[in-house]
Amino acid sequence: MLVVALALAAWPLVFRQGYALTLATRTLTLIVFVLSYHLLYGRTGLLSFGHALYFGAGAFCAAHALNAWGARGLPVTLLPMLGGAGGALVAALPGWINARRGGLAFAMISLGLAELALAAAPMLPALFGGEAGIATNRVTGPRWFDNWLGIDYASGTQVYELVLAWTLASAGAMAMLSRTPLGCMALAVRDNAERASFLGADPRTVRWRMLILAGFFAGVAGALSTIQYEVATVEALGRVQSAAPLVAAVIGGPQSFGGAIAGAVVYELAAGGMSSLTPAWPFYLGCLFVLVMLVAPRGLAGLWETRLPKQSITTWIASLIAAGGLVTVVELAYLYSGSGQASVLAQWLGLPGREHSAGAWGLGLLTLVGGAALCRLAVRPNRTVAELPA
Amino acid sequence: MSTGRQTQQNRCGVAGVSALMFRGVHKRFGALEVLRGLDLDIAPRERHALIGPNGAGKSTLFDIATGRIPPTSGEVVLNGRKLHGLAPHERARLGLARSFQITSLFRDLCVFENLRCAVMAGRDERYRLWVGADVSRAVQERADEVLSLVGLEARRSEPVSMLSYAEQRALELGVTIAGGAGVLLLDEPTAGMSRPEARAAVELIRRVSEGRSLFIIEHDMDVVFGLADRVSVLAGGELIASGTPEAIRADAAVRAAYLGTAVGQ
Repeated sequence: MLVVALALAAWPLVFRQGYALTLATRTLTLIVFVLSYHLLYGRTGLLSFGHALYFGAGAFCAAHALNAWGARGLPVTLLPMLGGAGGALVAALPGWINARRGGLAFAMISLGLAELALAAAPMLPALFGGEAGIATNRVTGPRWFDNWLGIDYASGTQVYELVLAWTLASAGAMAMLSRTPLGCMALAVRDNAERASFLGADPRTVRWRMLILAGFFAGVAGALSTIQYEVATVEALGRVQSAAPLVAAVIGGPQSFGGAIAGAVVYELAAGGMSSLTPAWPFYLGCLFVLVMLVAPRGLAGLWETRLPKQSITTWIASLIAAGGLVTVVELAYLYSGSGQASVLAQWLGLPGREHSAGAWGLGLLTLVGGAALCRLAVRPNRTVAELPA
Repeated sequence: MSTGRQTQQNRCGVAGVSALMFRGVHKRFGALEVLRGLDLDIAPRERHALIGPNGAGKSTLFDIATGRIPPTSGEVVLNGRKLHGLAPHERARLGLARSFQITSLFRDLCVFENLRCAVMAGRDERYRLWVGADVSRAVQERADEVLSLVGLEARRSEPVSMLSYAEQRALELGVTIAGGAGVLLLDEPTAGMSRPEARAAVELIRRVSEGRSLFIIEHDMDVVFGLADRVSVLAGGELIASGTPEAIRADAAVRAAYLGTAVGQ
């Protein structure tokens, strides 16, 4: 644990600035956000389609607070606390109604609430700042507390260290939560809400309190993003932002704390890393999502725990061939549609100019189908439960 | 209501309050009348069995007692306190615990965690984010105590799905009693068990219900007559008899309505 923390703290020494640092900062923020989602989905069994609501609340809360009180010395270091309070408040108010039921009812109401906020945003420019969002400034102003700590947040490194500190603190707090009575009740409500109620725990109260906690940490993540970008936009409330923690949590393994972190890293690598390679990255992320759902419903964490049977080298080669075929076809399709310039990935494969060639298409499709067929033949089946190591 | 209390006192011959009391409990599902004005008293520390043919309304009576469904009319009273309008978790906190006919556990948790959750749910600290070491130790100890009481020490960290059926039923019982409720409602605890398993289960129930009031639905006549101080017979939504096991065994109406040849064996 400590080693990981130190290694992360030393990250900026290796990557002083630029893209690697931005990506790392983004990833840490997403980890907090996905972990807050894990509190709801993995721990309490509440599937939410509108988690961006609390992220957005934290982001706008932080931006407005910094604009209003920044000149009076509001410390940026503690700003995520305010963002968390905003997220918790927004979670608490409609949450009491929403927490009455779990399952589909909760999922649908969470979707509705987020859509409501998204629809309200253009109508309230003073609150949401229209398309430009609410801009803010983390550097100027009397920051006696920050200065006393010896930081001014002028560099990306300092922002990274701030985000890292808040990520470690939040992740630690959320990990500890499973040992608390409320954390215990959340698991009970997740597994069997009715049984929990017959033992004396009110599922509604448990759901509501967990929702507020999840809202708090989502708000912290929102505030961290505001500090990083010095702006809060409506995108923070948007559908992509709501889908991100769901996709990341499912890829990583919904019931696993470590899985949530792994899912966040994979998601950010796909979104941040792959977006510079190809504009079709959401498609590839979608493919990964479907693949995980099909082969490993318990996510990366499930793969890790159950230790899938060792696959032959043929399987791996076949998978690579199939993946190569898929990429070829997708990039060809992208070129064919004629939207914008050729991606880096397409140039690596030498595809630009061949989008009208039947040969290129045929080769791509053949590799995809052939690779998939070979993969199907070579793959070893999952072991049954009885064969798993105890 | 006061006349009801009067009757009950006269019948029991003691001035104490019934552990659980049903007064004029009626339940109608649409046109179907499941319970037709039922009066029943469970005395403190009594082991009371409820028998009756399938569809007699036994589980419905449990559902009404624990607040899962409301009665169409009538009243349920726990230790002298009317339960009308209280949610299941509020009734549980007053000391009313129930087990389920179809095993109802926390499926993704291990055996010990099931018991720990059950103990914690019964305590006032249940929603806290911080508790002292003394509380968590007390919870831990109580969970371990119940664990050994139901004889599952060897399966402590096993996930529920790895337990045998009889072990799951034992854990169901453990989860029910973990909170220390004074009134236990057990819904067919031995259903689906083999003879030896059922015998072991009866011993277990006898042990865990020591000093508490037990209200048990059971089909197995060996279990009923081996365990109960009193037996009530529910048929067609009405109590047709209530008395000692011997009296019930001898009751002609009961034999005609339900027991058939089972008692003669």
